[in-house]
Amino acid sequence: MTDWNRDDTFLARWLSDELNAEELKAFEQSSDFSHYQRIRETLSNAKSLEFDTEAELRRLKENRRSAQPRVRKLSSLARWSIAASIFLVSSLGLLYLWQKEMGKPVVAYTEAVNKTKVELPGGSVVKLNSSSSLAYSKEEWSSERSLDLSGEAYFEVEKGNTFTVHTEAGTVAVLGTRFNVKLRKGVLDVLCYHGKVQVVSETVVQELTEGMGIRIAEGRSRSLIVESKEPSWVSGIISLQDVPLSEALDELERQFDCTVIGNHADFNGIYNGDFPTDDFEAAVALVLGAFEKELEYTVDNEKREITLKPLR
Amino acid sequence: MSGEGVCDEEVYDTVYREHAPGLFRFLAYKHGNEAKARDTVQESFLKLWEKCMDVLPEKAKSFLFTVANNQFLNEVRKEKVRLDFSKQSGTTQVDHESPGFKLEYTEYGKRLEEAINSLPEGQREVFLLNRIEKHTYKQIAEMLDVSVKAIEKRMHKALLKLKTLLHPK
Repeated sequence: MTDWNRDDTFLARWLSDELNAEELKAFEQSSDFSHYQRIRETLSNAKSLEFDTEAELRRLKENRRSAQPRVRKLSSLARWSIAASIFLVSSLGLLYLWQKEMGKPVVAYTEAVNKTKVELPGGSVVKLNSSSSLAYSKEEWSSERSLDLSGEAYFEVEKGNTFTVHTEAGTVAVLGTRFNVKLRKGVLDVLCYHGKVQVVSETVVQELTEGMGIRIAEGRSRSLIVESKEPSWVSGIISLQDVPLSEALDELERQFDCTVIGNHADFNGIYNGDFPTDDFEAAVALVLGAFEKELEYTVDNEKREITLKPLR
Repeated sequence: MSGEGVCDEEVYDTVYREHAPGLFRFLAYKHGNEAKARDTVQESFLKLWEKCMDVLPEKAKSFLFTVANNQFLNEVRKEKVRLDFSKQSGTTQVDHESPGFKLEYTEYGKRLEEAINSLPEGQREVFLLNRIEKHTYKQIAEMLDVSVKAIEKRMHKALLKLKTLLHPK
């Protein structure tokens, strides 16, 4: 047997004409060479698969029309003036409540399932996760970079004045950096991916640098781990660190607009893990599968319903 | 928040014309099913449209290949009765109809086609992408997100297996 049988890339290099003269000569003299050569030559006549690009593009556009995304954006001045007139006519609308509570116009919000991206004056970018909203005043932006957030968002902040994100559980102030802020049910998570941020709540003042994270819940803080370069939800994976099962189920509801049936209030399971946002059944299996010894459940994929069976 | 990048219809069309045929052949060679490959191309581009705000045109290709791969894995999963997340096995069993490429209609060509069809999925896709589509090992490595060395090994194994099938001792 010749040497080349022991080299597990030899034939690959032959096919791409990368053998040196010596190797090639030895190979050509081997008894199997003619067989390999015949396979190679036969394949050189094979034709590639046909693909009708233009016809397929037309079909795609038909399909696209029946599957429009449902992200709502309230960005332009025109929309804001419409909103303002609604505000004048009916002072009990949702926008009024927002105005009263946050003092700034809502510029973007997402419903369950949706996510959106907002570009701020000056080039900073905010990516908004599902069931979240963002408010800031365009007029005052040049003098004060200040935003109100409810829900979860990832910020990529351009250098400039202090950039402040207000939530009902605390405030995050930065100069120029990338960080994620998540406020769900009074629990505030801040993860810093680049640069430096300062988190201020009634009980905690904490500076975070790259790779650091903090959770503030019921006045107490603990650190969180930052493992990636940006939050995974930006690329379609929800990653939860030590959250109660109820919060993991809420996140499923936000991501898939699904309904959870059954009482699980007595159950104090803690979930720690990831699930994809594009596969409902897989996500449910990943979350509830973590508690398979304690919880039984059924999933109806079409109705988007999860039914929890009573605890044993 | 105006249209930008891939959200722009013209940019989107350009991305389609540039990447759809390659993505189609990649999927067809991988799974041996042209109809499924065409549908997966459609679904991947629908996803690209949904996420157009998050995907830069230069990242569109890797986005599409990733989505297409996941889409296919989901399909395979759906066909299974019970999901099992405890095992993350790297190989997936799929029914192959035909590898799709057209060989000249000779007795030897037919036998070669059958032999290629019987290769494991990982070897077949690499072998056909190189031999039929003339992609370099480096290009294929990028498509599959593995090392060039891994591609070379698969090529070597594929050819070794074909020779054994066609010219048994």
